[in-house]
Amino acid sequence: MRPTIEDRERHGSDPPPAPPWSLGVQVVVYRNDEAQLERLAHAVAANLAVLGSTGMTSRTEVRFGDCSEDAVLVGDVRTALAAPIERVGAQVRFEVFGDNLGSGGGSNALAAMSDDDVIWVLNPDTVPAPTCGAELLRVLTPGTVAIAEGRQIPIEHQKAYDPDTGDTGWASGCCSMIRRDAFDGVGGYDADVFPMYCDDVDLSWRLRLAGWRVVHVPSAVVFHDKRITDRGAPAWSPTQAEMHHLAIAMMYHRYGRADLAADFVERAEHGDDPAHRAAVAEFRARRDRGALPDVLTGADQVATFMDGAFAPERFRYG
Amino acid sequence: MGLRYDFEFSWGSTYGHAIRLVQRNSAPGLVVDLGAGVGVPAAPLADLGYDYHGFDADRDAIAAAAERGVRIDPIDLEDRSDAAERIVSGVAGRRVAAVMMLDTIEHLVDPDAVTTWLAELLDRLGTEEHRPVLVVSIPNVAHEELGAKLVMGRWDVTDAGLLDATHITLFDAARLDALMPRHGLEELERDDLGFAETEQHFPVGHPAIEQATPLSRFLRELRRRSDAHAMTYQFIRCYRRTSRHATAVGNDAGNVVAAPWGTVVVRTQGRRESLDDALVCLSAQTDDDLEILVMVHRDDDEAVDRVRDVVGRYPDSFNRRVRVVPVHGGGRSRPLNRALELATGSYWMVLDDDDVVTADWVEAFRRGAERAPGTIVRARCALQVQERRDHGIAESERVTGFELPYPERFDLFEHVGDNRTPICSFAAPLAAIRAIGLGFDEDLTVYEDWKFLVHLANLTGVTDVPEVTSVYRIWSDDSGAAGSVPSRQWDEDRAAVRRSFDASTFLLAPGEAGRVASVMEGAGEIGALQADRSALHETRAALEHLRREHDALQHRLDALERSRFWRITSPLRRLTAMRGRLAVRLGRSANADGG
Repeated sequence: MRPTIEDRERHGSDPPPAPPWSLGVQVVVYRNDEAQLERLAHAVAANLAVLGSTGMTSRTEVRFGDCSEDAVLVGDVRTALAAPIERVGAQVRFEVFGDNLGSGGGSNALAAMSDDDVIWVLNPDTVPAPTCGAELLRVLTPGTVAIAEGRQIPIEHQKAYDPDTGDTGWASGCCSMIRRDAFDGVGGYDADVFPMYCDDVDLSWRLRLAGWRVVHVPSAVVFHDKRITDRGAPAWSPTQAEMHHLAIAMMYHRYGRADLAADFVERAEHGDDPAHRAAVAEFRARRDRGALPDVLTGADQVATFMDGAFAPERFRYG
Repeated sequence: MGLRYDFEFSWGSTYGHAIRLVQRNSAPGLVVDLGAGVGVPAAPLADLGYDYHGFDADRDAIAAAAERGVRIDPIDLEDRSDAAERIVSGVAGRRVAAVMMLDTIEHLVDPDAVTTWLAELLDRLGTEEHRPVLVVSIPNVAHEELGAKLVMGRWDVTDAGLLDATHITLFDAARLDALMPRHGLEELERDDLGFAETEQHFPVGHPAIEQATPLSRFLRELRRRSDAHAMTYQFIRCYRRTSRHATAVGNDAGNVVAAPWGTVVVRTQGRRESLDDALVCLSAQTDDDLEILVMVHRDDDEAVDRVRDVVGRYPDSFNRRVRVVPVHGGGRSRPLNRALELATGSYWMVLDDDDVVTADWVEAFRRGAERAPGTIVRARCALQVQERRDHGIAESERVTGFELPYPERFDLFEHVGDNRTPICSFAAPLAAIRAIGLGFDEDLTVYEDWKFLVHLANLTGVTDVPEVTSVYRIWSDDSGAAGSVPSRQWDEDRAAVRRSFDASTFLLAPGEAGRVASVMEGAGEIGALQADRSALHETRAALEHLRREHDALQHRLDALERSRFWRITSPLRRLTAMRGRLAVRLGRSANADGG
């Protein structure tokens, strides 16, 4: 039977890895409302309390980075977010970027502020269960895992994972705990190529190319505030459709699927989606000026493109 | 002037019940009867060894009692300034077994002041070793017949009875149960008197009271569910003096405690990590005006402690709204009923630890409730299948996406036939649940939520909201809390629920009579088609029978034609045929010749 955080608390902790890990929790904010951020702050504080009781962490810092045009992380909002975190003995840091760096760029900027052993990337619209962080860190510490990903509810991600090891194709950036040495070793998120979308898939695949594992942790529960459509599908549409299309095209290209990239271009020419056509135009423009990323060697070993998905899926929504 | 109240004694009457209470709760001594009238209890009390001393303001009654040898002294209970002194003086040191006050309090202006005075009188009439008990009788203004008539606009005051013209204050059970403890009087025993039909059973043929009518049946059904006193005619209670005083109980408008909008009930057996799934969904709600009752349905304390540990890890901002409640024994209904006793919210929701909800689950319910207060609010629900894993890193895994098999809109007719609303997808008004005394049937092993929902929806109606806010997870192997139930039990419980619907009166909302007519017409057409189909089947059967006979004959004919006999006799048949044709020709020739 696999040990759980309750087993460790009941029967005594495993010896912590030497030394205990320093942890940086990172949240990139973009126009999020205060109530949502407060729920996250309280949940993070609860996680840090549990982590503290296990002895797996030493120094802990929570960093909020604000990419909003009109800063959200000001005044009373900072006070409200900081209070529960400081009560459990962690540091809090706020950074107003004054520009939309995107999720990957924002995470890179926050990571650069410190040299934590581990960074925990959380979306601002998440609420991790109190043992989520401990369950992720438990998986991260043995040495071969670069990213440990939480299990989302109420809409569980449909991608497949190895039922015995948790190995999966890629880790969602909504709740991922990442080894800092692995993160730095591949240059972090590629915010230039993937400023908003597919940055998490790209990071996962580059880490896997570098020999690291990406693991899904079902016992690390994270609530992700997504809604369900009246067709039974996750309610999500990209806020910037053109950038979403472009990111997919970049994925095809970087990971050596010129066939899919060509198909992508052709579909745009025959379709009536202006965002798709605009993305293709940008893709061609970059290609013409030699600004596309290099095709990665060995990409076929890690890349999976299956009918719009980046990994085999256990089921489909909608 | 005739006596207003001159009732004969019987053991089945108010007097009889009251005297039995005295007999069971106080050894023989003096019974002081306040508001004694003509002293009816005197004789039967004497038979039981009690002395009697009555007090009343009605001089005619006093005189009538005196003629029977019953001592009743004058007293005005509205002006109690010296009443206690007169009573004490009249008692003259005798041991008082009981003070009776039958059908009197309701004739007095200030029942609180009267009850205070009664409590003090008991103290004065008692000794260090003994205090007399108090026996009262009070008519019940919430009798079902009064309510039924009032619904139709009738309030019939009579010379005597429930709406006696001289009644000043009116009591229901709740008022009486609140009054006595406030003044240091603790109930020892009750022996209420009950009738289905009272002196209010008029006018003859009124549909609200004649028991054969659907209206009367429905009103009685509703009233009898609400509390135990639908047919109580008189509250007949025995009290003793106590030093404890209940704090004043305010009515709904008087309560000042800020109750949450919602009560969320989480049923768990404390064994699964999925409890975190449910709790984190609740901690992420956009509307957190909630109390959360985690009902741990296990008999072992370790399970309860584990659940407390899980809850304790959550932020204080969340877990201070959570109460962990152990529940022992019973089936799936037991934790729900226990939670109903504890709930303080306005609306009630259930999230079993198998299921999950979106962040706007409560918010959507509340929007619906604000749009249509007092109704059940129903949101849409997705279905997802999960499987257990007996090895590996996960105990369970979701194996399908979301289906939406439940109808968008609630239809009571449809739900009488089958349950189409998972328990996590509706919120119910607690005031309505309590008003009709509804609970979850503990005789049911399954379908407890279906029965509850339909009976409540019949009265409150349902407001549908369009959002999909919950995910009802089922196990692929039909296991889970209800999965161990054998199919026979499912069938029996389903039949029991259907019987409960059949025994109830259902309200047709506007527009539904037309639907019933359409359904009946459709049923008629179906019946006719079924008859046609039966006739067609019979015709086919007959044709098939003929076909088989034909085939059998043909088979015999074929065999005959292939036989040696047939071949041998062929020349003879040709000769016979020729002779026949010749005979025909000869016949025609004879006719042509006119012969």
